[in-house]
Formats: sequence, structure tokens, C-alpha cells
Amino acid sequence: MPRHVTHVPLRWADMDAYGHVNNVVYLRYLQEARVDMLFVHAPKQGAEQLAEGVVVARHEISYHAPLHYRAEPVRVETWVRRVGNSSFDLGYEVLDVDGDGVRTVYAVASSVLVPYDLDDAHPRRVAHEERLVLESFLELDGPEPGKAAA
Amino acid sequence: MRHVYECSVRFDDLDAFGHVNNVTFAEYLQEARVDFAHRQLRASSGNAPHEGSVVVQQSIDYLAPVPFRTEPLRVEVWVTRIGTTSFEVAYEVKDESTLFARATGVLVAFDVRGNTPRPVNPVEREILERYLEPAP
Repeated sequence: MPRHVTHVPLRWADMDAYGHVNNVVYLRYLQEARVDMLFVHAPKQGAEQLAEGVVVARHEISYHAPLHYRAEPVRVETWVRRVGNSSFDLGYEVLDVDGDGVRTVYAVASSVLVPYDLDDAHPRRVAHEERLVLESFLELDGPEPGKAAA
Repeated sequence: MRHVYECSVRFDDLDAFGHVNNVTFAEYLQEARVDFAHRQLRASSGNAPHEGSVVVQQSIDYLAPVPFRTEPLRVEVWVTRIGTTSFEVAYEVKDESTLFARATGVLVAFDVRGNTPRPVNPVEREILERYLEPAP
């Protein structure tokens, strides 16, 4: 299954006092990719309701390599790990791919997302059209964020 | 023992859904962790500014939305494991009545100037041990 690809521009102010992109900002890059996938592209494929409300129930992220400011955007690949009745999981890789196809991965992450009715303030079920669009990005054996402890 | 950080909510922490954005919770965790590092670790360990730590892994469970508020949130941070070059922390974001988020983080003691991991030094270890509690 294909992954959704988003190219996210870096900002100079994404870097912290250590001179690398701050850990929090990686979550912001994931959000840019997720919004592009769920709120911009998914509605065009028939899942209009997603743009009206999806909330994050959980994030997990492993940081693999530091990023530094550059003019070129960074690539974020997003796929669907699981589609449940009232939630679904996304996987992400933040990476560069060079001309030879060599991948440099900066972070691997996953999120649990819950379709949400913001007017009534309660979760709702994944609609049939949403499931079809989400399942077109299904990848069950993608990389997962793991603990890199020492 | 837990380190307690009183975290203000800024008006622009809220997103188009009218609640504090998920990314901003990670900022709140970071403010609590940096406050802990500056007040406890750096003040007592005599570490130079480049002897810091970097985040290598984190997870956040979002339990309840935070609408705009003028009362600060309470962010509690404590230590759940101390290794040779890394340690783990846990957090709760809450107020008197609600637990808004739970989180964990893996940190590696890092020499920023040398761009390399470094051992957790004995003074740091002693301070971290004072904040050692089981993971939630």
C-alpha cells in the first residue's frame, strides 16, 4: 500500500539552544503531515467528515538522528497501522531520501486518532467511507517507535 | 518525590478545535523537564551548560481536553529509571480535579559540545534518585 508523502518546510526557529531541531517540533512536523493527509487529501477521496474533527489520543515517537535547519523541506511519510471501530492508528517516518534512494530516518512515530464530534463533544464511529480511504494506506508491518535505552 | 511545575496556558496554545493542541502538551512536558533540570540538576551538579541531555523517545496519552484557562496547569515530573548514560521520566499534566495527560520520556545524558552521549555523573545520579518513583 502507498504511504502518504508530505514535504514539511523547516523554520529557523525550530532549533533550540542545542542547535538542532527541538524534540517538540518533530510532533509539529507529524501534525503537518497528518493534517495534509486527513484534512486535505482524505476529504477529496470521499472521507469529508475527517476534517470536521479528529483528536489525538496518544503519540509515541523515537528520535533517531538530529535535524538541523536547511532550506529544503523534510519528507514525512504517513501510513495507517490499524483501523478500529472508533479509532485508528497512524505510523510515520520523518526522513530524507537521496538520489540513490538511500533513506536517512530522523524519527519513527505512531499515533492513536479518534474521530470526534466537536459539537457534541463525544467520539464517533469510523464511517464506512473513512474506513475505505484509511484502508488504502494500510501497512501492518511498518517500522514502530522503539525504546533506545542505554 | 515529584518535581512540580506550574505551567501557564497561553491563548495561542489553542488550535482551531478550541482546545490546547496535542503538540503543545509536549511543550508543557519540556518546560517541566527543563525547570527540573535547571533548578535541581544544574544548580547542584555543577554541570556546564553543554552537559545536558537529549530526548530519544517519548509517549503521551491524552486523557482530557484543556480549554483556555487563566489558572496554570500542574505538571509533575519524576524519574522512573536511571541507567549508565540514560534515564527515564514520567509526567502527569493535571489540576485539582482532572488528569489531562500522562507521559513518559527516555533521556540520554549528552555532551552537546562533543556531540556524544556521556555517563550520568554521580552527583546527577544522586539527585535523580531523590525523584525516583515507579512508573504510573
